[in-house]
Amino acid sequence: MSQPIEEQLRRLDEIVQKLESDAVSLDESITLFEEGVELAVEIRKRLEASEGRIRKIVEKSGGLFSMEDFDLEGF
Amino acid sequence: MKFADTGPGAVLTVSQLLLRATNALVSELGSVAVEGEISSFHHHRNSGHMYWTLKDGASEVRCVMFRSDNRRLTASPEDGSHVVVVARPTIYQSRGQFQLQVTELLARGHGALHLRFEALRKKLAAEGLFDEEKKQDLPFWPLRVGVVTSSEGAALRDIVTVLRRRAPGTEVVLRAVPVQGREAAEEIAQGVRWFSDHPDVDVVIVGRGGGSLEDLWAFNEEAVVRAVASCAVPIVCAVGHETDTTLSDYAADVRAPTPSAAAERVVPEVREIAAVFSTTTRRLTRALVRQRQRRVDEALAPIRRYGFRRVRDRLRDTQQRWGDDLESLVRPLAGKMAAAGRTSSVGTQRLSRRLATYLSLDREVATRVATLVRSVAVQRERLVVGHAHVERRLKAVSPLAILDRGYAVVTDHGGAIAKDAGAVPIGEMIGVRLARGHLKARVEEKALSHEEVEK
Repeated sequence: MSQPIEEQLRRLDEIVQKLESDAVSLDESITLFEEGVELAVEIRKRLEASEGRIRKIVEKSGGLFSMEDFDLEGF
Repeated sequence: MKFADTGPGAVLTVSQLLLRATNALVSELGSVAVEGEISSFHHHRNSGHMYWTLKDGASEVRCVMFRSDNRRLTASPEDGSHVVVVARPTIYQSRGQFQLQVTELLARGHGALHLRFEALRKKLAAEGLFDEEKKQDLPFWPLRVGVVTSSEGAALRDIVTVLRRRAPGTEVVLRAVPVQGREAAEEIAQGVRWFSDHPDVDVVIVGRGGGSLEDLWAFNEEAVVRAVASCAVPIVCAVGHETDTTLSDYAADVRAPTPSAAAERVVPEVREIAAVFSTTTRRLTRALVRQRQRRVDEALAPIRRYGFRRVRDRLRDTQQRWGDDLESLVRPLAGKMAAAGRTSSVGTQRLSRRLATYLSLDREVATRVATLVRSVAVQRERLVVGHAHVERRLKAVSPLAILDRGYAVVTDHGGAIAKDAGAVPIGEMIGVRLARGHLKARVEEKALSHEEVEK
């Protein structure tokens, strides 16, 4: 899994601030921009995630467990 | 009979006696829990203090509960009710009357529970289970939330509703347990331990909705409190309503007043993050366009210096066209990034490759133009230098320049340049032009070649 989202958000902000300053070379600015776009894609995926599922832990015989989808609308 | 003035046998004033007796009571008994039946209850209208008598059939004792303590009572005590009071025995000084100063008033069934609660709280606190330093931070935005509660209660529905409103993508892993009754404590403890042992959730919520003190009791059982305190995953405890506090609340990393509030503490408001995010991505693309413009301006600076206005204007047009292209590429990037995100990162790579091409094109053209400008400038300079050289050479071949080197020009009496000695008779007047000035001369002698001289 990639780094935590707060880390991604922080890094994206850092990239934008660097790009906004004049202290980067052209090559650096392209590299930074590319990294920024990759991050933005990752972050957007999580921001747009649709309804997460609910699973219930079910105990099987012999101390084993399994996961079953749980229907909340059922109650 | 004689009494000593001081010491154990000394004569005391009444006040001194009561003061000593009070001190003895405080040091001997401290705070006590006493069970009995209320009678002669009176709530003093002006002071707000409560007064009653507590009886057990054989004996009775006066009780006072000051306003600052009775403010927290949810129901007013009534004559005939069986209660447990937590109180400090004191002596009312002005009347010399023994009384209980009540700090807490509990229905009798609760009295025993309360004592167990206090005893366990002290024991576990001494072990450090409630220490602030042991509290873990909650994650900023958990992907998966473990929930230990009843699968039938309102708590689960409240939690899921809030999670879906604030962070719709959040996954829930439910460990369904009974939250009241004989089995509850052990099952809740096992549920919490399960998440601690299988840490594929980022945070755990344990709790239940409101109920009576007995209903909530499982969360005061030692097994549950210990499981919560030692949970390896950050854990939020939410039991009952705002006013209910259990030992599990003390042991959890975060105490939430209700299950809904627990869900709010656990996930961030994703819409807020999304708003900041879209501003940031707009800044990202704007910053790149600006960077590029600045680089191009820098690269083209020589053109401005030499003032080739037409070249500059044409370049500016070209730059503008590219710039527009670039902007049209970059502007709707937010949308493209989303599309790219859905269709893997191939789209993104293509996008950034195109971008890189644009930018290196800019750079190449700028470099070429700058080189061109420099070479034109050099040629112009060369021309100027060349001109000075030619002038020097022209000067060198001028006949007048020969005179400088000591030659002279001779003309006959008609003014024509004399080149042949045979054509100039002796005795004729001739003109001689020197580098500076003229001479008039008469021919005295002549030779037709440099070897022979004719007189």
